[in-house]
Amino acid sequence: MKRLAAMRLLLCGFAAILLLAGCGGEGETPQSQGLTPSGPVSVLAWAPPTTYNDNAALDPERDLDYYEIYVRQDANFTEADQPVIQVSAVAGTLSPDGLTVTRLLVKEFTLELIPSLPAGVQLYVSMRAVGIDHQKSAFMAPLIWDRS
Amino acid sequence: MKKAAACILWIGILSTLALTAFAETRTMSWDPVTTYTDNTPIEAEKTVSYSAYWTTDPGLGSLHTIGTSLATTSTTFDDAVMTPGSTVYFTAKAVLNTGEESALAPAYSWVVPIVITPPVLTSVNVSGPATVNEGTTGTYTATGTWDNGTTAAISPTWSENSTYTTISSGGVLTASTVTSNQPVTVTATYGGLTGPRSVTIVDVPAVLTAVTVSGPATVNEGTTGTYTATGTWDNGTTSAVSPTWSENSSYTTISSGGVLTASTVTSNQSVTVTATYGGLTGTRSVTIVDVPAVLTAVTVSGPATVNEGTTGTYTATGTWDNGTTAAISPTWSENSSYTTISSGGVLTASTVTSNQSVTVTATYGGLTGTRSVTIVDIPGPPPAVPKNIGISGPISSGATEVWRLAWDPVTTYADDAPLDSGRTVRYTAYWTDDPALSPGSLRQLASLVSATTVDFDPVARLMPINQPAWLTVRSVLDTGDSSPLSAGIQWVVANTGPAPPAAGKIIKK
Repeated sequence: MKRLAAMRLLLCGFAAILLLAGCGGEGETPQSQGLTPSGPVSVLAWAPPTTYNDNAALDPERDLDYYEIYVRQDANFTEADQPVIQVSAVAGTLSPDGLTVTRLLVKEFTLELIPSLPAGVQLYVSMRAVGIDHQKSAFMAPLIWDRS
Repeated sequence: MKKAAACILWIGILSTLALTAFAETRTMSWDPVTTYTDNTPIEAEKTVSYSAYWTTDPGLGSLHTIGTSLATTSTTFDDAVMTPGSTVYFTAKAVLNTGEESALAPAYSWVVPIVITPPVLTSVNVSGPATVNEGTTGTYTATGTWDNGTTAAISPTWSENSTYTTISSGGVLTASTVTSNQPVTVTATYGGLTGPRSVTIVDVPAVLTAVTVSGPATVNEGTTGTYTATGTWDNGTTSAVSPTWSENSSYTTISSGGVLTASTVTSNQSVTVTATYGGLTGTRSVTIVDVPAVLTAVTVSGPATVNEGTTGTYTATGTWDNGTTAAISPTWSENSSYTTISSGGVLTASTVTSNQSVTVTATYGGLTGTRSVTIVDIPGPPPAVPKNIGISGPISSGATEVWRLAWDPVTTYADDAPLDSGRTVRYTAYWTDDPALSPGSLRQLASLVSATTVDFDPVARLMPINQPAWLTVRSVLDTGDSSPLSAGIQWVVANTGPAPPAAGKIIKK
């Protein structure tokens, strides 16, 4: 498997990924806030991978491109499923003086930002990490999203 | 001296018509007596009256007094008491008021005239027919009857009292048409008398004079024609009648309602339709037309299935509107790339790899008939199963990894017999997550490729990562016959990408 080590600086404002991933999160856990839902929200949180499948070391800030979030009404996620949204793996935050950009790993995502979800049903959520070489991880263990 | 009055010197008879028809009053007169017999005048103080007599005796015997003490010199008498034609004698005498009388005057003879009285018409009688048929005339005559018993034809003034009749001055009564018998009185007026005659104008039933038949002059075979009859009466009227219908052809029948039914004919046929009514007949000549039959359908017969590599023979039948059918020689066609059809209807089916549908069409007389035919794929000997299947790769990497599935070419049938010359083999490759290679789980990697390799991207083929998959291949001959699947080779799609995110959780905020 060829791994590209090139740094990819992802800035806020690129298409849907950046719109939904957003910038300016609190502290070191920026997450999508471009479209802020009203009322209580459900936030998917995760730990970015730090290895490849073959246990080789992986720098998530350097080697990850984005995450794919999947939603189903059951836990049987397959290769045939399509992600409902992509979330940038790294978010850049502009310093107050506008001179520097601070790069932070994205570890959260507000699920209510996902458009066109079926209402009133329990959903399962999973995600995959996608490297800058387009290799995808396996599915993260599915989570029950209690939408009550 | 006593003097006698002189004699009456002239007596005359005057006649005058009596008041009645049969009596006549006549006047007898004489000269006045003014002197005595010695011609001395009679004194004025004396008056003279007269007595008058008649007799059939010339000697003046047997006198019949006509009148006495007559102051005038005339008197009347009725000669009815006298025998007409006989001679009677009249005399008179003068009588003074003193009683002195003259002698009878000399007899005055007079032949009692024979008075001929004209006969009196006493009745008028009308002769002629008591009935006159409507639309005809009757002639009437009148006869007068007189009181003398005589009768004679007379020429009266004629009259009648009906709106249905007129009468001429000659007594010809003309009757118009009536709808029922009508009474009329014919009257002859003559000499102040009238003679009536009751006459009946008779409503004479019209007499049928002709029956005519109307309807089509031609009737096509296999169809019907309706005929009607009209009666013509001697009063000039016509009306529809319900006759007894008949015809004289073996190709036709006719109903009581006049409907002529023509059967099939092979050439035009003549028939006479006859209507019989009231003893009369009317006819109409009709031609039963031999109408050329019209083709209404083409049907195709022949096998519903033809095995590949064989032939099937088809025939066509035409159906005409006259109900006949016959074999026809149509133009044949078909619509499949697997078949050809000859002008004689022989369908030749080439080899098919599966059953194929074809429509055989017969075209004739502007119509078509079709038949759906299945070209049957006859199973042949299957090819051998591909062997030595293996995976190598990745043969490319980068954004995607491509791996190669390869196998040995198949050159024999399953029984190891070499493939027939001209046979070609193609291959279909599958992957499945079912080690039993169940048909429902197979997903194609390649279909009917001629090469013995297939390159594939496991990710693009949606193969599960880090899980076993089985790959298999079957061979397929150009005949459509195929081998069983080869034994599946197990392969794991290794995912060398990132480890999945961990410690996932959903937090309510």
